[in-house]
Amino acid sequence: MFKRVFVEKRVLDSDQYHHILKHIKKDKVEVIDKISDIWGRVKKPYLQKRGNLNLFIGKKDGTLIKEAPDAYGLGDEKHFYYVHAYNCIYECQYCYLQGYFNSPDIVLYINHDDILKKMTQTANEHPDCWFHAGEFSDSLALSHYTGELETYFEFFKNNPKTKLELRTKSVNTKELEKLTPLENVYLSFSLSSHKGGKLFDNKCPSIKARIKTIKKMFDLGYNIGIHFDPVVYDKDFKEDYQEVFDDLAKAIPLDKISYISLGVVRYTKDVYREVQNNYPKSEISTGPYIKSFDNKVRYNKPMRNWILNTLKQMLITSGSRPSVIYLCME
Amino acid sequence: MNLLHFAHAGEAQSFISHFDLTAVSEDNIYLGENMIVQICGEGLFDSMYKLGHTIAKYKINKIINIGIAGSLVDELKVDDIIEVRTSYAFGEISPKFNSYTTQDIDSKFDCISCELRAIDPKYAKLITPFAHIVDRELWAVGKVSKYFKIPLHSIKLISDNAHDEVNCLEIKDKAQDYSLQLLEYYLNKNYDHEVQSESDMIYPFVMTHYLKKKYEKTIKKLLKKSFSNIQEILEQINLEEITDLKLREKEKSLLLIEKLEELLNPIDKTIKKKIDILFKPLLDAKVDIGLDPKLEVQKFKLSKEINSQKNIDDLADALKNFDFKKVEDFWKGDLDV
Repeated sequence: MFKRVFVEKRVLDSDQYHHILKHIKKDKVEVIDKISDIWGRVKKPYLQKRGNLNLFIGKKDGTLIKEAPDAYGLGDEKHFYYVHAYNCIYECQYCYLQGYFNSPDIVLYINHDDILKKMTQTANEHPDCWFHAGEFSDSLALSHYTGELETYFEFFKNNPKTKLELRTKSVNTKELEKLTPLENVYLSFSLSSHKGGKLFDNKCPSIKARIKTIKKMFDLGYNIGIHFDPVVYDKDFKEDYQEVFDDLAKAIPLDKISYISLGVVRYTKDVYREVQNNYPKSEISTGPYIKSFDNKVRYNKPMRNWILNTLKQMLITSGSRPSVIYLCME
Repeated sequence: MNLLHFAHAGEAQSFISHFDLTAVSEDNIYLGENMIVQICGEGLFDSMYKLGHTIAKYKINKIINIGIAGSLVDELKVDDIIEVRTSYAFGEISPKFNSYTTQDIDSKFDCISCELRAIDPKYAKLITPFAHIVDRELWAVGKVSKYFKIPLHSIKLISDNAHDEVNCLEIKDKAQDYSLQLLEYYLNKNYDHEVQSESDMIYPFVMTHYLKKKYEKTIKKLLKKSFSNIQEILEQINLEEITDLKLREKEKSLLLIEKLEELLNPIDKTIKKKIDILFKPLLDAKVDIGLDPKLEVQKFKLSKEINSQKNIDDLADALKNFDFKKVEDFWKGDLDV
């Protein structure tokens, strides 16, 4: 998977590094002083993740926990995300990471103890807050490399009011299957229509495979959340999404889903430019986009509301609880 | 014509004699029928300003940088010839942010162009994380080619390993050999074929520049969808019907573009129809409606010419019959028509 592996010398003796080392060839490892000396110092083309993806392993300095924007999650509790990794092995065409970082190379930060210290401080101030993993990466895709989930589960076991959300498109649940599900831990899967998944979710597990994994994890006792985000409009979107709702309902009862978010595709102008450059032949950039109230590129307001309300109603008709459906970033 | 860029005369010599090029100036430019060879010298800045000058003077379709480079990785050995994917640059102590990618995006190798000669293994260690080979010009050539929007290729022959002590004189002595090897590679690549143009655009009507751009943009988007060619698109919208209308070319063009945009995004037609229905009472009373064209701002302006009491009465009637709640519902997503 990785062409080159760079490791900060200050983590060479850590257990977490040695755990990752089991999955990579030792002769690929190059020791460096700091990740920041190399990663992001030059503009590495996003699509080089296809054949020239590098891995960086080190410690995260600076901010480890950030407050999430408004309308990030359900409810009135505070939402935070923690920074444990940068970038993703998948290649979704709408992904904002392509305009966010200067390099697509994966960074794994392994100073989880520092992150957990910050989590403890934050949880002391906001006991019923949420912590989200997967803001800058997929939270499960490389979880077998890092082995970090057990550490976080231990924290959330000892802090039952505080909640953890693991956002993912992955079906890599090996590490989770070794752990006991907790009431305050939620697995949330990003889904789209089958057609949308095929067209835009490059290198991701299919929607069918994700639904199968959702069923497996639900049957094991995990709380499940679903993010239908981003919704990319197509003239057949109602039929396409009804099909996915039906497939999901066959896998798990929709009224047992802890929360469902709906979000329409949106880009910052930097990301939109990258999408057009990276995927010039994709129909993702053919939509009737405008520059909206927050300077993001998206569909106009009546159209967004129509799409979201339509899908919300369809979900309710299919058996979802209205109280758990929320609109993301609207 | 193609512009072959070299740093050194030694590497260019075989090209000059093979293509029978003629020296045209003291700027180390050699001209052939469809080719220019320019020898810019070593370093970023010389390449930048000299290339810029040449591009301004001649019609250049393609730039091909050719030369030697040092290997930074074990997998590249002396005498290997590669094509470069992306070029980076390194100053005296730190990298430059911008990078430039060539047309050879499937190549596996990147190049870092350094301000200093990479003859010191310590310097080589500093630059190794960024690329696979090191030279002194390619990044500058990339910068120029991007600025002028000219496609770029780069062929490099590995002359040394940058992590070992480098003997520049030894490399210079082998210049003729390198030049022949590079020429052979170049000839096998066949860079001289004509640049393929994009599929021809069909313009059914005479269009202004603005309408042409709008038309082209919509057609290109439609080609990304399920249509395989422009003819298919024009048949879908019944072009013949528009052609038969007794309208001026400009009006036909506008109608054509409208139909293409409806085909691209049918939802826009639904929204437009909804707006017409919502504002019908006012439109019938000849009131102009000023809506945000992006439909993001939830407000609108009304204007009407008043020159009689009847105008005021008509306006009053129209406002009485106007249901603002339905407009609010429209903003909230009610698009039923």
